[in-house]
Amino acid sequence: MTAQRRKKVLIAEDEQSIRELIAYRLTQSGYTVMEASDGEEALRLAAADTPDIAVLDVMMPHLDGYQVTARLKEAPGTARVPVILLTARVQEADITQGFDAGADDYLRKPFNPDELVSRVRAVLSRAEPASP
Amino acid sequence: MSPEQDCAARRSLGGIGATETAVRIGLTARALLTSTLLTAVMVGGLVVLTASFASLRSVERENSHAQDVLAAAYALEKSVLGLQSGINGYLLTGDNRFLRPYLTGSGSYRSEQQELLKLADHDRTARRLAGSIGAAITRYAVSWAGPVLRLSRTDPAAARSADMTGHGRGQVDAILAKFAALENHEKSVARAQQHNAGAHGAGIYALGLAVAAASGLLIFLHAVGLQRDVVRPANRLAAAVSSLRRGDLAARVRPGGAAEMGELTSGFNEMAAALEASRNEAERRNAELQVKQADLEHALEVVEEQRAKAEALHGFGGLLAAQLRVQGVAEVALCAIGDTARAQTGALYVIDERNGSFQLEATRGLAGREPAAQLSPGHGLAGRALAEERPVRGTFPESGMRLPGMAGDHHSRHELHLPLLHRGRTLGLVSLSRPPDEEFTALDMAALGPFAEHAAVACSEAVELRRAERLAAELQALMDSTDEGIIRTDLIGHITFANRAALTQTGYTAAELLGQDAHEMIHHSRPDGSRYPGEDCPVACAIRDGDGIRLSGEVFWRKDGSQFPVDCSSYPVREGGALAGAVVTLLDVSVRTMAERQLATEYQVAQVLATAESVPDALPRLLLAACRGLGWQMGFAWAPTGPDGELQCAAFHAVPGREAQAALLAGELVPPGRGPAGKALQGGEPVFACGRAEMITKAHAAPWPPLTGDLAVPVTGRDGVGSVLEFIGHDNAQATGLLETMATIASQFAQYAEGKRAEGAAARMKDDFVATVSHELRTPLTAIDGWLHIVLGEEPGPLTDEQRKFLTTVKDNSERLMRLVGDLLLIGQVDAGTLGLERGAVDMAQLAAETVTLFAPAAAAKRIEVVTDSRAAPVVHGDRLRLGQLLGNLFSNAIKFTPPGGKIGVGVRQKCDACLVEITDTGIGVPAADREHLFERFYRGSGAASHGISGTGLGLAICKVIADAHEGQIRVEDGDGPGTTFVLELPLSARRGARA
Repeated sequence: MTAQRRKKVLIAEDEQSIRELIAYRLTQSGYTVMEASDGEEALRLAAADTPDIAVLDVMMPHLDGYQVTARLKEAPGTARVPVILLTARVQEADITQGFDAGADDYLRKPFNPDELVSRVRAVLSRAEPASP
Repeated sequence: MSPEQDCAARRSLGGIGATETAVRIGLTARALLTSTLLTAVMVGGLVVLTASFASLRSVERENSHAQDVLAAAYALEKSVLGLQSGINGYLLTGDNRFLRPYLTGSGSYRSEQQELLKLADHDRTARRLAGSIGAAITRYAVSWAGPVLRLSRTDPAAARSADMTGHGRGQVDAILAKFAALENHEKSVARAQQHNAGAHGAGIYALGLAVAAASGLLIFLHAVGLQRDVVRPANRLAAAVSSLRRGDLAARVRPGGAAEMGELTSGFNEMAAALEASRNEAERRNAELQVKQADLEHALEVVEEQRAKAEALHGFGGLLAAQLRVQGVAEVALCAIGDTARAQTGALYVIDERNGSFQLEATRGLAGREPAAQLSPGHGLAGRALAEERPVRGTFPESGMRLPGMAGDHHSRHELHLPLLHRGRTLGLVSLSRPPDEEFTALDMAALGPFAEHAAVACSEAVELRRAERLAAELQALMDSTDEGIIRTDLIGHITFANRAALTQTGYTAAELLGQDAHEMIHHSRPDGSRYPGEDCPVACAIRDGDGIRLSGEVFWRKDGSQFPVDCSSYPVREGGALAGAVVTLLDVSVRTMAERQLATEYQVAQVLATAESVPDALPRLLLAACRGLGWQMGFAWAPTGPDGELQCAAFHAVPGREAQAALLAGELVPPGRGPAGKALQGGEPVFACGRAEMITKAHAAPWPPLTGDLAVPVTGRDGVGSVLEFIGHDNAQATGLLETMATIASQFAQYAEGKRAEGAAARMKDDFVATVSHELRTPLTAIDGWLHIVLGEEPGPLTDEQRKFLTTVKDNSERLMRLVGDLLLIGQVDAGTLGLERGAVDMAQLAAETVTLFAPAAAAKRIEVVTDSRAAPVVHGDRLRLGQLLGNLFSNAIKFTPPGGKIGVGVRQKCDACLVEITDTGIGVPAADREHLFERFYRGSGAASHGISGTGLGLAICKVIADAHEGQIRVEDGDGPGTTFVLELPLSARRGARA
């Protein structure tokens, strides 16, 4: 990892304390983070600087996590950005909806910050082989 | 002849017989007496003579017997003497020749001895003597002669010496003496008998003389009697008979003569008297016969007269018989009776069987002067005749009672009122009148009697006929008044009567039905159209067997080949105990059946809706149930889901064979206002469209039989017409009849759809709540857990500033979590009814100020200006903590929904006996649609979502709960656009009715 450039993680979470928590932990783990407090902001950030991976909260005002995921997948520049959804919802339908929208993984709240780091790493490594 | 007379005659005959018998006995007795006397005398003489001769012969016989005894004695005596002499000779000579007498005697004496004993048996003395002789001879022969003889053969000397002793001699002498005694005895007996015979001969001679004398006397007496008793009277009788023969019927014989002659004489006299009496009687009868002949000739005249009357009566009867109606009978009767009575005028009244009154039916000679139309019994002469049930005569002016309308200028003076009586019942009245000089006589009344009787009988029959006709008409009216078909059949099931309803039901005319086989005409096929043999038909069998049955669910057939469901019954009809046919009733239950089908279909639809998961699931099943249950050919469910609000088919159903047609119709978009469905959608009312389906059928040019019934019913929910159900059937009549049911089904569906919508809304709200609560709980937990994880994962040591910051975040989130949990618990308490308030005096102005102070940092963070306006300090009786929570929720909401740099006003004032707290912000405002639901639990206004404002949807619900608990109220002021004002109103006298 040190040999490579630091991976950029887009974090979209309306709850400040959680957003800071994720950012803090990922930064600790050597990632560069881009923080957005709602879906629209997340899309703007992603369009401006394509992240390596996006961690999106599902329940956000204006645009929720599913919509943001779908928009990311629709836009050619961000179509290949893997997405991990954070959800407080627990029903199967919610999870299915997330995958339908194009998410690569999901994590249920409350979550262990270390597990999030592991997931980010795993999703990135799955996406890696395609890139040189 | 009466029994008494008969009896007397028998007695009299018996008397004559007894007299004759006495006489005959008398005559016979005389003859018999004379003859008997003669015979007795002669016979007696003969008998005595004969007896005397017999006695003489007996004496002679006894003499002869004595001679026989003597002869036998002599023979025996000779043998004894032979014995003695033989022995003596032998002894003396020793010469055997001298022994010969002995041998002869010893050979015969025994039989001679026996002979003598036999002959001497008739006399005791003779018998004793004979026995003694026999014994002496035997002793001599055996004990003397024999031994002496034997001795002599050996010792002749001894024998002779023995003989010399004289012993033998003595014995012989004794024997001879005995013989002499016997001879004397027999001779004396003979002499006595000869004496008796002489006496008898003299008696017989005397008797003969006496008999001859008596006989001669008797014959003389008999001749004298005969002359006196028979010959003389007979001569007298002969002379009388000659006189009688000459015609002298007065000739009589002097009574006399014995026995039969006396009788003959008196008999002749009686006969002569009888002949004389007969001649006199014949003469008398002849005179009588002449009188009777005159009578007969008169009677013949009377009979001839009566025959004429009878013929007239017979003719009248014939005329009456030709009349059936009351009026015809009345006219004929009045004409004939009037003619017979030679009446000038007349009227005839006949009873009205319905009310018992008497109505005028015919008049005579009263042209233009009609008498009273009705009679009252007891009123006037006519009324009297009616009341007393007898003819009444009257003469004017004496009676003063006139038949109404009969007199007047008509000079009738004599009236006769004849009631027409038959079997004790008054059937009418004939009133007749004659001129003054022609009074009604008893003879007239007698002559009119039979006519009145005939007329009464005819009236009775005519009245009965009229009654029967009226009854029949009434019965017909009754039969025609019912909707139940009534058919009368004969024994073999042929129709003899059908009421109006039966004709209406079957479509036949009476002429077509009468005389036809009921089963073949209207019950010939089963519901499926197959042949229904009469022998399988329970109704036909019941008619034939005379059973009573009641059936439902039978199908009968109309003339046009259509069928109709029927509840039918058959009752046997009996006449005089014998089966005469049946009455079959038919109750058309098609209306009822349709009602049952409607109910069943409604039930089916209810079942479908009860089990259907969703509206799309329910619709096809509902259409199927409606079509199947009510005979619709197609059913469509339209919903205004087209691009421009057109009706689009959501589901349809068609019977087999019409699927393609239905699919064509279902593929069309129906604009509102077009077609029945479009019109129903627009108007909100059911719409009929006769012939639309036919039109469509033609347009599609397909070989589908036309459908002319089309009914569209709107499905009206809370928000108006949500969809339309359209059904297409055979004809409009069906559609019309089913309007109510289809409306009910539409209403059932509307309720179902509404329920499903509410159910969906509730489910969505629940989902939202779960998601919201889940999010609201997990978000702080995530922060708490995550930060703690990080802090705990770092190296131990004194708390760094960074770590302290992390832990502060943890604490903030922990508090947020506690608030949420508190809110949820509060709601739970309210639901459980256990919300408790700790009441006390609360200064609302002060509480508002504290709240503002509490949230000042949050407001400051968003640069929101807070303006407080507390003009009064109202104190309420309430729970300070809960009221603080209420104000806090309102205030924090205001901050949350007010954009940075906005303004919040908090005002506390008193209005009447209430404390008003108003919190006004310059936030996004509450849309009108949200206001209604704003205080509902978990409801989040549209603004909250669109502005990314988080929350549980519990804040305002809790505000309302607390306000309600304080008998207060909370509301949001009306007004569109930005800014919101919440008003809390609490009663100042909140103590009253407080719960805690």
